[in-house]
Amino acid sequence: MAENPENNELLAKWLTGEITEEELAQLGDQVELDELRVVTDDIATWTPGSFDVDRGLEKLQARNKEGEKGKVISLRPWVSIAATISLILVGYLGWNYFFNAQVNISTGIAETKEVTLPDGSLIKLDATSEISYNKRDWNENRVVALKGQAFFDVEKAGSFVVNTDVGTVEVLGTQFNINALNEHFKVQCYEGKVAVKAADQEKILAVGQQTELQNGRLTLVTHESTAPDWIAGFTFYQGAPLPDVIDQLKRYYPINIDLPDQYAGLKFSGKVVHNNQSQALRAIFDTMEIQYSLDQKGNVVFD
Amino acid sequence: MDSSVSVCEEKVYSAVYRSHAEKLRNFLYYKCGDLDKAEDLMHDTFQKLWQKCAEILYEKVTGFLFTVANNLFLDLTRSEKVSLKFEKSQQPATDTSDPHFLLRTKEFQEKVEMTISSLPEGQREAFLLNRIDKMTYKEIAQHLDISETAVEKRITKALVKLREAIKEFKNFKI
Repeated sequence: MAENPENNELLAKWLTGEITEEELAQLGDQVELDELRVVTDDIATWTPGSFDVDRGLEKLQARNKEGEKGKVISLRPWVSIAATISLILVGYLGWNYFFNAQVNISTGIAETKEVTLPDGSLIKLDATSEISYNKRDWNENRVVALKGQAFFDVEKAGSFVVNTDVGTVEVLGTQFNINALNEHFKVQCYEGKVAVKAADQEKILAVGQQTELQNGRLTLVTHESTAPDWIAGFTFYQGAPLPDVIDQLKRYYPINIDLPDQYAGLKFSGKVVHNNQSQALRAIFDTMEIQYSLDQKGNVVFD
Repeated sequence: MDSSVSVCEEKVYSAVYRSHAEKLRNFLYYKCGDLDKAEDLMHDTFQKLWQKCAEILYEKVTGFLFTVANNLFLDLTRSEKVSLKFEKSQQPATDTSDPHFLLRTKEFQEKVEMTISSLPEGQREAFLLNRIDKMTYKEIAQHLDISETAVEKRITKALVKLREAIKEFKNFKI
């Protein structure tokens, strides 16, 4: 062999290029080294196979969910100490203190509310909606549970999570609207960024994007509004299932509508106001050419 | 990153996956020589990370992943012989006037793959983590929990074998 075997140990340094001229000479035949360079450079372009990180992550999250059903959460020592202390505290201070920490705010039909959270974040709560949060550890744990529809203007300060029955929304930025009535789930982002999770999927929304859960999938579309239209007192629908429109209508008017099955598959597009019942009913049913009338009790009845 | 970052947060966990998954899969591939098995073990490893997320400091995540991956691999029956295959991320131009043309043929790649496959596991993974996954010797040392000198030794040994293989191939061809 041409090279001095003792100096082979310089090869690792040679590979990274951290080698002096003098040392290089000790490595032997330069043509050989040249060839070795060609080969090692070539290997640097190899891959064991392509890797789809999104698919992999999806797979993993499904597996983690599966595993969590049987997962035993082991508390770290200090956590269990904290738990003991808080149990003692419960005994000392009584339940009342804790119950007071939980804030529940709800709205009735046609009622809206503005809620300012302890950190200055603002929630505008639409009709027949409900939020709850814990005001005591609010700054450490900004989590709001929501039923119904609300607009959020969040102060920047770490994580802010909204849980609904269908999915969760994590705020990465500041302004967004959630509509989570019954099975319906729709989120619009007006400022900053939000992460939306539902049905094992995740979507990151930027300004002007909205996502909606449809047939078990989170769809992503754009919107052009700067604030949700319910704040301005109306709802704008585009190809929305009629039963959903009726469900929403019941939030703004104390009204009974028993939609016949034959209309359940229809889609509605148009603007429905929140402060004028007869106008709203006309907007929906007249445009869809559905005959209706109001009975004595104010219920909508169909012929 | 400050130490208050928790791997139990899904956002953090996903980010760790995005930055580590492929490297970890490759690492396992270099060990076992089976891409499907490597991906499976990689996901097993991440599942362990999720289960233990509360106990693991964010700064220690990388070390944890590589240690667990290694242990899971050891739990599996140690495969006696591996046979690694690679794809080229870019196809080289077939230019026969290139003085190193021989070294870029499919035939030669097979020779190199064989040479790498027959390296002892430690040398193989150190060398490939450096070449393919672009890890520095220092990073490899941290991930495998060995000294930097040990990494250099392994890489040197791999290079010596490779150098010999090139010589053999050329002599055989000419």
